[in-house]
This record gives sequence, C-alpha cells and structure tokens, in this order.
Amino acid sequence: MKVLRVFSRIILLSLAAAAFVGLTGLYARSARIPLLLPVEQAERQHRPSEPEVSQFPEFIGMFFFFLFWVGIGRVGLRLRLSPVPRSEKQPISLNLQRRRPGQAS
Amino acid sequence: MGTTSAAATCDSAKPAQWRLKTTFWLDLALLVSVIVLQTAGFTGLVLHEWLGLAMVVMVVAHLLFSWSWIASLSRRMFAVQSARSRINYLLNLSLFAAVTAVIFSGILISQKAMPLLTGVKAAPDMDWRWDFVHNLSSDFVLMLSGFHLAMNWDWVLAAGEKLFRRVPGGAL
Repeated sequence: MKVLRVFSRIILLSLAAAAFVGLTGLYARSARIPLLLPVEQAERQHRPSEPEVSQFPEFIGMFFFFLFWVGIGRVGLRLRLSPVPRSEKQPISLNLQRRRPGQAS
Repeated sequence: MGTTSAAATCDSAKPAQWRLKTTFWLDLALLVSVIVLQTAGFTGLVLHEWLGLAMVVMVVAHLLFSWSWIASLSRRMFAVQSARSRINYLLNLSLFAAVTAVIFSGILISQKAMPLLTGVKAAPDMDWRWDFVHNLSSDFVLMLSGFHLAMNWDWVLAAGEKLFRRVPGGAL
C-alpha cells in the first residue's frame, strides 16, 4: 500500500515535470539566443572530461554567489519561516511529533 | 505501565528521527550538488553529467519527503492564505520548473552520460539553443535554491541543532 502511494506520487511528479518540459520546449523554440563568439563556442564544446583542480576558485566563487542569493532572500525579501527572532527561543516544528502506536496519521 | 509507554514513545520517535536525519543529509547533498554543478570546468564533464542525472533521484526523494506540505498547500492554493505561503509555493514551483528545464536540456546536450546510457553517439556539434536554455535555467536554479534555503533557514538551523547538539526540548 505504501509502495503504491509512493508510486502514485512519483507519477504525479512526472506529469508535472512533463508539463514543464513541454513549456521549456516551447521557450527553446521561440527564444532568441545570443550569438556566441567562436572562442566561447570552442570552449563550451570542448570542456574537459576530467576534474580540474585549478578551477577550484570557480567553485568557491559560485559558493559565495549562492550565499549572495541566500542573503538577498533573508534580508532583501524578508523570506522568513517565522517572524519571531531565534533569540526569543521560539521552537521550530520539525514534524517530529510523537504518535502513539495505532494512531492514524 | 509507564516503562512500556516510554518504550513505545521511544520506538515511535525513531522513525521520525531517521526521517529528519535523512532529510537533512539529502538536502545538504542537494545543496552541494547545485553549487558543484555550476562549475563544469572544475568537476569535468563526466562528473558534471552523472551528478546531474543523480540529481533527478535526489530531487524526487526531496519532494517525496516534503509531500505532506506540497499536498496540503496545493489543496489550499485558492483558499485564503498568507502572502508568505503563496510566495513560498510559487517559489518552490518555479524551482521545480527550473530544475526540470536544466535536467531536460542537460540530457539533450549530454556528451558523456547519455551516449553511454542509450548507446546513441553524441552529436558532433553542440545544439546552442539547448545549451543556452541549460545555462539560463541553471542560473535560475542557483538563485531560486538560494531563496529556498533562505525561506527554510530556521528549519535548517533547528534541524542541525536537533541532530548535532541534541538539545532536549529544543526543537520538536
């Protein structure tokens, strides 16, 4: 029964993903793509297959770029789970409520 | 009687603790993957493509773990809701759309993983249209993932506290 429920959810997710794939296809066909320079084209077409440690700073840069978006989300958009500051020790629900055996979910 | 009750409570708390632990580490793996996948030069194309495909499994697992939230909010989509709930729902829907787009376009321009899986030789020339969609959607994935983390920041802190510090009566 549980497997069936998970399977039905995966089917639902697949249907939603298929809808977005269709929309992506529509966009790809209609979008004006910027022309790349031959150098850029060559660089993208011949990316190295193996990891390159020398590119590690790029990863660090991307990590900070990600933190930038987190910061924008936290400060700029005020996207908070709870308006109560953590300093006030407001408990956060982690959905760990203990159910008695036999209790319906 | 009290001992039996305490043992039963302890037993029923175990799956919840396992679920929290799994969700936390899965989300951390997704977070690292999203950032690593932005740097194809660093990982190399082979790792980049296989990690991208692995993300399909991770995203599906992430969504299945969050299913109760998704289902309840989808049902109440048109009912009266707080602005925050609406923004959160739209943000997550956009993130799902962007992830779908990045994975689909990635499969179409794959040069290593998909040819190996399907046995079809990779096209000699890059499809620049899908390459453009792939890059654009991956930028959106990074941005929206940042917002997603910002939205759930307090949950992450509380879960981390529960898992690592084990503060009794802290997070429930």
